Amino acid sequence: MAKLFVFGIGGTGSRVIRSLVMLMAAGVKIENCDKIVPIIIDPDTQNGDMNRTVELLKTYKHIHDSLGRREEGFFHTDISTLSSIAGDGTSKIRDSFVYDFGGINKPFKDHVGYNQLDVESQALIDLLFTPENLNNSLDVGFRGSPNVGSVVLNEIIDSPEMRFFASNFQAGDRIFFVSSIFGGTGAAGFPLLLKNFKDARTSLPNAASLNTALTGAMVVLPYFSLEQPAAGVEADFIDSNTFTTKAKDALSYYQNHLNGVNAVYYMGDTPDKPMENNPGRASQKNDAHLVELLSALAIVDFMDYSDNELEGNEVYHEYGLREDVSNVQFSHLDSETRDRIAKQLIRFHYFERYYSSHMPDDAQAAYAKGVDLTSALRNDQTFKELNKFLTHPEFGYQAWLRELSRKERTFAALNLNETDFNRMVSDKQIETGFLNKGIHQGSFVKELNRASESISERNAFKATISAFETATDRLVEEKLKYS
Amino acid sequence: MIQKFFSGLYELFLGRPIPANFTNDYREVVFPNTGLQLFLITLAIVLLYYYVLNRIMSTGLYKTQHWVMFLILNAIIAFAIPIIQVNSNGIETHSYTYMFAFVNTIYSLILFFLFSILFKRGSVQAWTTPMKWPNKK
Repeated sequence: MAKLFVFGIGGTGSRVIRSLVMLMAAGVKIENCDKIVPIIIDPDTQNGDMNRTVELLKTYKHIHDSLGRREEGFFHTDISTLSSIAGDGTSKIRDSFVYDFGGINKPFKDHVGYNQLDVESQALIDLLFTPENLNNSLDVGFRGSPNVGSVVLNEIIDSPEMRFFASNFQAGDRIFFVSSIFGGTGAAGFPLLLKNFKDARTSLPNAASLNTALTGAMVVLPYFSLEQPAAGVEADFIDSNTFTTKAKDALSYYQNHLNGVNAVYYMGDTPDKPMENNPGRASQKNDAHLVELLSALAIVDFMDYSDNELEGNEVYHEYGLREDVSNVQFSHLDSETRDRIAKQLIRFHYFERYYSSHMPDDAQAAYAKGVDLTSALRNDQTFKELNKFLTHPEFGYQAWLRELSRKERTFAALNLNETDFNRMVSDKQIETGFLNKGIHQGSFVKELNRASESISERNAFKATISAFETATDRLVEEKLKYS
Repeated sequence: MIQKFFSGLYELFLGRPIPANFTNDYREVVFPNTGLQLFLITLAIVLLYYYVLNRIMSTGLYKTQHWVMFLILNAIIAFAIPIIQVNSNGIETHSYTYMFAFVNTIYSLILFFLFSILFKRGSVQAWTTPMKWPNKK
């Protein structure tokens, strides 16, 4: 029962996990582990990016649990909260995907007891931190200030959550960090956690297993910029002009101090049009970005390697597209990436499009009638969760795909606004003619009915998902002929 | 044997065939021919619906309304068979003929339904048409 603990640190961590969940929903396989335990670390409890990722994770978990354990297919990867991995209900920590900072709603100045310090210590603090650093409340996050983050985050190692994590960490489990290098929380959190986990003298339980655990990290380099307030306007903001400088500084630190990590992945992009500048709280809800989707693939890649392959020297990965294009399609991804995700995402997209647009008309079709789908759609909570997963305006699949197409560098492989199944995949369209209509509602129903014939499952939700898995597979192989 | 069976079946509701001078023609020729044709044509249409249109060809005609269309088609044929039989055997047309056609139509509905229940399981696209019963998932 090997597990993968994914630490998503800061806003970028949350957003990459959001993309990872979408990949898992599409059925992208994550090898060498039975369960993924995402742990989001963000002191900004109101953070919009974090909260929608948490909602997405909860919805995914509900759907996965309803479907049960399977080796492949949509939603087959098991995810779990940290507190439920013990499985016996003995954990005393909160059952959540998010690390509980326990309400640090005070300024950094009070957090370090600035006013109680002697003058020399205060002078040292003044040297290391700006007045803004000292006065900003911590529950908004570290607002792009790793110097603040490194102090606060160093304390979480002694928290009950971290002790619980360590005591449930078993030999064979792996750790993966996802963080940005240019922000506050991620840039500070990743090296700190790594250092503490890999410290031979750490006070955490299971130190030996932790020290030797195979560890990977996705370090996201600057890929977006933020709007700057107009000159003379007093506004609360993060200065994105410092992203590159901060990234350079952090990289030079990583060069010498990143010990115990087996594989590090780097990814970044030229920032396009600046995003709204919201330093934290609910309004920090940035659109999904292609870089996050590709960053999520680092986790898939890391897990593809066997233990033997990862042991030994550290390896560093960078990512590049085949061509520097604005509208990225599957054909612009390297063949390895394409093989990993293209078919799965196309199948999931077909599923979502059909499920949302056509399935309500199928009450009389054999696949639906056979399991009383109409009444299940009305009464079964799992279908409601699935609807949420696909269509929720904040965190659903449709919203995610729409956001990915709003940037200057868009993920344009799948066209959300296209209603014709024959034209949904940008780099492969189905030729139609007088006798061949390609994929349309009729051919989709036919495949669903055919698929459901061999499904003995009587639970409506399981049977429907299973029918869609088989049907979309056949449509992609036989009609779209995607390769 | 077949003659007796079909005569019994039709006379159950229609009574003795009239005009009286054609009673034997009905019993020996018209009833058995009509009954056999009804049986074979209904079977053929049910098999066409479930196995050709909804298994081999997957035409999309799986809805109850499509099944009803074929049921009605079969009923029309079933109404026509007795009239054609009566005329082709030189029998005088009588109100009895139309009653006979009507009863045959009723039988066609029952037979079509029974054959549907019997054969629908083997259809990929329409095994739940007109309803799921008695098959289970």
